[in-house]
Amino acid sequence: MATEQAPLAERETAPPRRGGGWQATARGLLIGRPETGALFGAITMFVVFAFIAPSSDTFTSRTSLAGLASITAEIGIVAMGITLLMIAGHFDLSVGSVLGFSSVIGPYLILNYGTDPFVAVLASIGVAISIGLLNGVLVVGTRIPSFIVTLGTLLIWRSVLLRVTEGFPVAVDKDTFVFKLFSYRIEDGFFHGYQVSFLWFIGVLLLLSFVLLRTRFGNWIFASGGNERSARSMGVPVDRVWMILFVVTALCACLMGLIQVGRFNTVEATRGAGLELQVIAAAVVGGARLNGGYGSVLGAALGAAMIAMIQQGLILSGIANYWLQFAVGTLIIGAVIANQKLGRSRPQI
Amino acid sequence: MSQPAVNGKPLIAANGIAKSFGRIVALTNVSFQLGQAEVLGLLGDNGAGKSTLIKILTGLFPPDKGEIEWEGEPVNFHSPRDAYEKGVATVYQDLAIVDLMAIYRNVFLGRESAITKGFGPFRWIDRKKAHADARKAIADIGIEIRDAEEPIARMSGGERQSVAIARAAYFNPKLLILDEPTSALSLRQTGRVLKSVEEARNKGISIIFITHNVYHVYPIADRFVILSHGESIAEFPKGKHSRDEVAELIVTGKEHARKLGYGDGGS
Repeated sequence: MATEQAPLAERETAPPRRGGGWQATARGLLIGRPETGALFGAITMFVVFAFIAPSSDTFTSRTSLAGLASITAEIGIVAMGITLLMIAGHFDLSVGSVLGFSSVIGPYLILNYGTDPFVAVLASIGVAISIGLLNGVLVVGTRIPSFIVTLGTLLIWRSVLLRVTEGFPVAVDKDTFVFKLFSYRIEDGFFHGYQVSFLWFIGVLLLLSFVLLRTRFGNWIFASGGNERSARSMGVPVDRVWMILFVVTALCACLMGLIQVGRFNTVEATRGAGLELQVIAAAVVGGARLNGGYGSVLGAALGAAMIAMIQQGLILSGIANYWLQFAVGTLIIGAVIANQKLGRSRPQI
Repeated sequence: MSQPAVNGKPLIAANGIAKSFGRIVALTNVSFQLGQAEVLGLLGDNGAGKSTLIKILTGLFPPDKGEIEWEGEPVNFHSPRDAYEKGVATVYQDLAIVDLMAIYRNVFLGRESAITKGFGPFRWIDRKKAHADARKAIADIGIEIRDAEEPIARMSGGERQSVAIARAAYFNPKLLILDEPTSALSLRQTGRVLKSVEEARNKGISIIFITHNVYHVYPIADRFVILSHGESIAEFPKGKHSRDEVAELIVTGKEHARKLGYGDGGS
């Protein structure tokens, strides 16, 4: 930790290490930030796919970009939520099951009880909040690692979901106004051709970034994960921070679920299975530290974009789909190595 | 800045403090006093009762016997928060800083309302103010920082200690308790921390500097109290004994203190 320092006198007389002009600004903006690696990675990947996709405009066509934005939005929303939780020092493996369970509840109520769609969506949100709270209570109350607790709830809620649906898909009328809020192809204006989910994504990105970087609660998130003991002795309500973030993560999963309900028309009982690995991958690629205390909402968004680009780019480049997981795996390891190299001036982790 | 209203009385005086935990006797008879803007070197070997004394002074638990006077009035510190509100700030050995966090975030950790603006529940951190205030807090104790956004992990041990002291001193306590602030530091780093302590005293803050190493505290302390086996065996102003004599006193304890003319209880 303690690095070798220049002799005292030298350091006191040396002028501040600020070069002038744009170089200093660029350095300040890039070096030592958690999302630097993800930013370069995403740009590089975009350029590479733009070149190797057979006809030059395939990958960069509006249709392709809109598809990319749609996948990025869905993975990204959950990845950003889980990133806050990871910075605060916890995991949530149950996001996939939360997504499945909370998004099936609404359509199930509409189908079987004729519930008003608005109320049904509120029920979905309510279920997500309850599940998030339960995760939080179990982790805070028992002090069992969240990895274990949410592994348990991952299995439990998936099982309950299977029992409720008996394995059958639940259909919903996606033209209902309330589902259009979450899934709707924008027909004109700047975003024409894009799904409205991309706007949700931008909204969540701005909101969570602001909370993390510019509010008291954000300070508490960093402190709770960076050094729980120090945070507690400075009066940070660490347990409350964790509870809130489990709920935030569950709400993000619910939002992704509602987006997919509108997009697919149906919810099947396996919806969201395996999501936890994708979103943790996105968070880590985006610079989040596994032990907490460090990470970036923007980084997670870029990580999600990279995973989306791999999915779409491989298909458009005519590369066999077998290589998808190979590519994502390589991305994760490569990204972590790159983050460590790039962040040499950042604290070693 | 609020000046402690001392009116000739000591800021804090402990009289005959005793504390036991079951059959383990931690403190038997500790007395000392400390005036405004004074630095008290509280010296003692391992097991002399230093930690127990701090915990009593910061309100973690009450003494079994004896009394503490604060600004001339008897006082009970009911909890660390109570002590803090009365003006006692403490920097523990672990510093309670978060290495991965920016300097300014550490300085205002748990007291973010000092750097937020906005209305009602909608408040956000004013970064310009946060940077400036953090820089000022640290400059107040004699250290220039390059960039308040830098993580604490990039600072040296002495600088980290100084940031912890700056944070405690910034909110204008009357008494600052430093627990072994130099124990893990090199000589040069120690010098830097001592400078910070001096600057804090120049702000009018009284300081209890706890250590087992007289050579670290001797340059800045105004008075000394020697703790041995739960008892304050000697209390004297600086200059009365040489460093080496003080060092010997810490190791040899009560018998030696008698030879130097201190009675039981050191008063």
